[in-house]
Amino acid sequence: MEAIFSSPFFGITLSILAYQVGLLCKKKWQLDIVNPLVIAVTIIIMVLKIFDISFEQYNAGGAYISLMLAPVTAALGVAIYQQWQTLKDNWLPIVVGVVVGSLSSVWSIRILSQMFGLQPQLAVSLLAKSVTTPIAVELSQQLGGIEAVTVAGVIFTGIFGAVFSPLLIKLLKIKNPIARGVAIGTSSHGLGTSKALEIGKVEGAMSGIAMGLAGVVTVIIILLL
Amino acid sequence: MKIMLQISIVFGICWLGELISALLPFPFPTSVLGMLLIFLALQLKILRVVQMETTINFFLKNMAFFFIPTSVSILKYYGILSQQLWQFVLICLLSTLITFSFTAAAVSLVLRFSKKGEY
Repeated sequence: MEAIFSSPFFGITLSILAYQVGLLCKKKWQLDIVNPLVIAVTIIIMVLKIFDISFEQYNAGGAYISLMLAPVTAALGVAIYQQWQTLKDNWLPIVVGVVVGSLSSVWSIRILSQMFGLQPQLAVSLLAKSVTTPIAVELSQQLGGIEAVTVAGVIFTGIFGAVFSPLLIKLLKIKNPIARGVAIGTSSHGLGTSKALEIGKVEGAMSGIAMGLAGVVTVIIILLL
Repeated sequence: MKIMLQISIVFGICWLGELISALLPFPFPTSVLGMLLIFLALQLKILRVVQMETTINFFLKNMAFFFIPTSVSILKYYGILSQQLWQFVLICLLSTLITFSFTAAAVSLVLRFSKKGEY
């Protein structure tokens, strides 16, 4: 029985089916808060708990899907190429947005960690959580953080970004697609960018470029400040 | 076979990205390097969009799906976080909302004051 769940086919099939359920829910309710990714993740975690399957067993298949993250993110290069003119014309607001955003990310984590009395080692692990995993992990290690905590922070941040970005866009009445995209990419890296792409082409491209820029800017901020 | 060929272009670029990433003196994500390489290849007319269109459109349309296993991995971190889980989650949430709002405000402000003023 154990071996059945250790097959890569199990994890891949479960992921696809759970995501289909998520997509159906989104189609049915048409609400921004109904996020297919969150629904899929919830279903999978429930299945694993109910049938007592370990994450490692699930990830025998899951790892193949994760492997695809690099080519999927690289695909953003096409989106950026197609929006190059908009990007060139608006380089200043984009750069200012990413710098302001990265600064507010690092400082808000510092202040909030103190407010909530988070253990210093956890707090330091969180500092770079708004950027893409490899950069965040490297920064965390240099600061003496715990890698696992950093990865968890990056994932939570991405999920929150994907779920709450559409709501914030409405709440704050952000009409400009450049502002929307840069805000999503700076605050919630690739996971947020997947939502930006669903909102629009310009949003997706801007989010992609902001994600890359935010990584570089955050390294500079954390190592200098 | 057309789709296989398209996939091989994108995979090949990622592989090149890994190669460059290994040569760089500092860590830089392969995925972002791949993004830059595809952009450059298109800009320099080494590649054309039609050569990868079907695959790229599929990737961009279904990007969220590929984040599922990574997101499920939060299961693994429950133990290490259990002492301060709620503080941890709340800080992640609040700082994401703050970062989003500040970034959007900064971009909007600069757009408004820049000469185009199309905002």
